[in-house]
Amino acid sequence: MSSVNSASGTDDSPVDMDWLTECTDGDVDAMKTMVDLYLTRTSSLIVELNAAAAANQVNEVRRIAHACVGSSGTCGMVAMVPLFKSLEKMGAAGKLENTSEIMARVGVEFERTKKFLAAKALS
Amino acid sequence: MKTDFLNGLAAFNSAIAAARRSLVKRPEDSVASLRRIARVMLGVPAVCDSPELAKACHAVVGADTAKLPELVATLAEIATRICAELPFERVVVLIVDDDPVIGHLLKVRLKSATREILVAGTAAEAFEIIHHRLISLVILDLGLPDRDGRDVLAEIRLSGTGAALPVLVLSAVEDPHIKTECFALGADEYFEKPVDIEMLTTAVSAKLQRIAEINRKLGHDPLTGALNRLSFSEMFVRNSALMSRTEDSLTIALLDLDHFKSVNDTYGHAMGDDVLCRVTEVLEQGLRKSDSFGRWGGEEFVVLFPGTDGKGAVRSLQKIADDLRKIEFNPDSRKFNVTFSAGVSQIVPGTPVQAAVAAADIQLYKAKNTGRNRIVLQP
Repeated sequence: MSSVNSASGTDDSPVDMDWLTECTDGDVDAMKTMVDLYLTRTSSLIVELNAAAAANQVNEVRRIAHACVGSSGTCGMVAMVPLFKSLEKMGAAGKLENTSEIMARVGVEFERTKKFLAAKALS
Repeated sequence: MKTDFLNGLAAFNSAIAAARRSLVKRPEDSVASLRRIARVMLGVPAVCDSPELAKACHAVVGADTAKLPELVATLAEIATRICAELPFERVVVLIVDDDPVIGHLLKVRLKSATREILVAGTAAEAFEIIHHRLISLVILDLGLPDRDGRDVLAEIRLSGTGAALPVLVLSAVEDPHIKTECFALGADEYFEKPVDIEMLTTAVSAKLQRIAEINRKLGHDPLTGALNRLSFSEMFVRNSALMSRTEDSLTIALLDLDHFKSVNDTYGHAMGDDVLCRVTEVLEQGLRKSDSFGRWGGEEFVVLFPGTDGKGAVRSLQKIADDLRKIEFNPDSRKFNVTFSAGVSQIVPGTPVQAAVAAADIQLYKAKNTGRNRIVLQP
């Protein structure tokens, strides 16, 4: 297993399917459970992230975004990783001025990721 | 022994799986890796003891590149089957990570017949488990909700039991200072997230194998392979705590070989060593799996019978005494047989090990003073 690819097959794919398949050793049930856990947790973390950003809570933004980077990277959710990384950096720098734009992109990419996984019958 | 062999095989299996997956992308590297793994496997005594496994390794080492995938598949199949068939002692791996996704993934990938995987989402949960279970390895995320993972690592290292516990750190932070600090605090490995699962599972198997090997060497008497005094004492404490919870009986026995000095004086120390090894074999074969024994010192052995009352322990020892008496030592010359005297004491769970051994020793003294070759149970 090498590093997470930005895409699998096409450059625009929001999920690195090779990574996801390899890390679960091709076990479809394990993959589905993992995807389910990821979507449920990330969904609630995005809500928390929005609230923390709106309240200008820099440490909370950094902490939540950091958690999202870890699980998104582990699951091969390549469209989400750079957005959460940006938010983590903003939180660490204590500058949350531009978070609304990134949070909007988080919402869009998360929906795209969900649709992609549904099309693969993984959610 | 079986557990570290199995962990070793699991590590080889993980490495084989990774190399097989890379066969298409990096054929030359992967072929070299597979041959190297098979060659190293052939250096493991337990592998050579399995003709089937050794043959499969030799085939991979000497195979044409074209035939290699098929031969490696056979090797992986045999190794997996052996892992599943051998009896084993389970080891416990603790994953400390508040991310359920990572917890699930690691649980799925690390789970095997030889391992129990526990997951703690907080530092508090982790210490609760560490204090109540015998953990063999910890995978620790640094970003925990209730404490910094570095504090957790430091506390594990400062605790008496955790000083030698392998700890593999996971972190999503790309910061060399944090990595350096973790190594200074005693981290065995440091993996950045997203974790390369193949690398992590291989590292876990290899660490477990190595720690089992070290523990085996440190905890066993080098001559007989029986538990040494320290390991027996640890085993005693664990069993005593368990019997205390289940309100079950616990019996201890102290055995002393009769006239052992004259064996050494008459037949030489090599024969004396042989006798001690044979006694160990007889004890291994005659005791139940749940019983444990160790070499207490010299020609003394100590046996623990969990869930057994004094009379049950005497019956078990009587059979062992009979088996030992049947063995003829030095068959080509002046033959002799070996007997032992034993003191048996049913003890209250929670009794300190020294006090328990002392109680059995009083009965052993009576056995010696009333003619030897007998077992005396504390009234």
